[in-house]
Amino acid sequence: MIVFFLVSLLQISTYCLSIFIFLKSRLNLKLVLLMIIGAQAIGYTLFPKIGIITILYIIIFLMIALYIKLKQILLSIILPIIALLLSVISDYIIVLIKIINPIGDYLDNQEVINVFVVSVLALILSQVGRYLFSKFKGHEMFFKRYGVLFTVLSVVTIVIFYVNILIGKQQGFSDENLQANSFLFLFYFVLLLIVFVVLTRMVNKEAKMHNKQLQYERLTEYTKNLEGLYTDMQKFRHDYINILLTMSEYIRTKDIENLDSYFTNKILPISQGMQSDNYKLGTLQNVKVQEVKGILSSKIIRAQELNIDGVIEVVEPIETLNMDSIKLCRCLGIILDNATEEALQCVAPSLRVALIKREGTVLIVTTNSCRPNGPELYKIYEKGFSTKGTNRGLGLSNLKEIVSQCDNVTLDTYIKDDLFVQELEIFE
Amino acid sequence: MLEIFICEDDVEQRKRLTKYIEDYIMIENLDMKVVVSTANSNDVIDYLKNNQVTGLYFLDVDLQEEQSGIALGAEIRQYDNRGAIVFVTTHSELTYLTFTYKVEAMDYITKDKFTDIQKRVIDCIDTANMRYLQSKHNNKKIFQTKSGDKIISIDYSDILFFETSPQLHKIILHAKNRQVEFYGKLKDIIEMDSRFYRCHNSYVVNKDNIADVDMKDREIRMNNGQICYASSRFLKGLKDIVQH
Repeated sequence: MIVFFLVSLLQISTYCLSIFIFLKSRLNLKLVLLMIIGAQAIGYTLFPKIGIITILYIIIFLMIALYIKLKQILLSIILPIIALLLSVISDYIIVLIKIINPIGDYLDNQEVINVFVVSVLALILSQVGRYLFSKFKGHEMFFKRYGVLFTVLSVVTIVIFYVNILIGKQQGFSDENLQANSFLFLFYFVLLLIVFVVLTRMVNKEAKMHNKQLQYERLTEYTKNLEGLYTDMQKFRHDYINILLTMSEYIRTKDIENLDSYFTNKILPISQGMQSDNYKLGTLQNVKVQEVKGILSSKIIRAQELNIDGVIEVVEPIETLNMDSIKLCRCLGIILDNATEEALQCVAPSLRVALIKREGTVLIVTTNSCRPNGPELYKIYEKGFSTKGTNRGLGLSNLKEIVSQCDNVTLDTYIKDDLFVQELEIFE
Repeated sequence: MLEIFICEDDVEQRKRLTKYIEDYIMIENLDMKVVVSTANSNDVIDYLKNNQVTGLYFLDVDLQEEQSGIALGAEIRQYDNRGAIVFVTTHSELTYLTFTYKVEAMDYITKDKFTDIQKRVIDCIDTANMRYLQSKHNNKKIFQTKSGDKIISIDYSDILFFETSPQLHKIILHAKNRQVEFYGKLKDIIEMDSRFYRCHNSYVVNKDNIADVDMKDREIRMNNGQICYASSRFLKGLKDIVQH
């Protein structure tokens, strides 16, 4: 009885610990301990009565426990399954080793040691799995797109594994049977891994292409803007000579009255035209990071099209930004979209972005006009908050999440004198 | 007394600017004086080297080139870190925030709009005067901390609570109408002021801004409705604070 208790405790602890290994950052040991105790209670009481089906109850228990903590359905379904898969796989690996190697006899006689070896192997596999998982970037994207498929696949796999084991239990396996089974399972598992890797590669490639395309479109827009600027310049050069001629004529004839009216009616409007929207993007040439240049120009041009006074100022050349460019572009996109949306509701909408080099940091400041009696600041950061109805307000809470993942970026948000200010500071 | 400095290389414009200011000081009988009106930025710096002042500076950033405006502003800051700097320039559109952040400029007067320069100058004088008088009588305590190159300063009375970020050593400060992140430790923050109380392993709350405490859900509601969390370990101490 004690042996059974120890063995099941060991197995369940391994199982819970490998879940913990996969999600170290978001679980604490207390929860894991609770999970172990709960699972052990279920396992210890049910196993003698219903046998291997117990594992189903344990899995469901763990899924519920994880869901309560994480609030993410797919993740809480998939994690216990992966952990279980790893246990089963390591079990099969040991079986294989036992068949090939004479050590097997020794292990067969000592069940506790046998289980212990399997546990260690399972934990090592989880650690390796976690390492591989953290190695490839873009698993967030993968999970978003293929999360459901992947979950279904793992569930099916585990069902196949256990149906097989169940049948084996009922009919009794010979050594050859077991061996063939182990090989088959390992093969299946490796195949699954390969499919997984290939799929991720494809998703990543596609995402890259999509990003490139987006960037290209934004830069095309920017080029168009520059061409417009150039045309304006030429027009001005042409006008300039004419203006000088006319003025010199007035001055020669000392016709101050006409000169006055000419100045106010003709020349002043031209100086106003110099402040046209095209000029306000001029300093963007100082941004040498293509992706950032693209997103800034496209968002500001869009804001200008909506009759917002949109300006970009970059006085010093910005060669590099020490932040993952995809994350940075997402942040800037969220900040600028929100700024545009809020500015639109003001009497004199304005949106201003500056990239400022400081000692050891680059500061990206965005200011936009906001309504004098807007919502409290903390509210707009809450998930699901939006000034435009429900189900839209993921923006700023996402922004906060992205920034909290970066260890050299800080965010400062405040409202002052009817201006909403976002300062993103990137440390070198 | 607030001392006024004017630095502008165009003689005509400098004369006009000086006249606007002196007229206004006379009419309103303000406690101010134009002490330097020059084309050469060195005159301003020389004066600052020899005198301890709180100034109001009108600087033309076209002096030589844009960069010099920032450099001059930064140099002035070395001697007079409370002074108000106002830039007078033609291309404000493209440098407004940059100047604000690089030298904490108070305002910005654009020459592009020919007509309202005088009005803008007067606005600046009023604002600077108000700030000067306020700072003289102000004994509000201000929380200050450094984050990289930036100094974050917030009135203690505006601070709601501090929260640790998932990222190591990063702290999020929640204040009225402001959320700011900086690098530091909660342990050091508690020691900064007696109104801070550790209510959770990852939260420090400002006792003065607590509206009420929900003992059952271990939630602290702040004056503005925002929620801060407490842990059972620290809840007891909180109970005593709220009751007193």
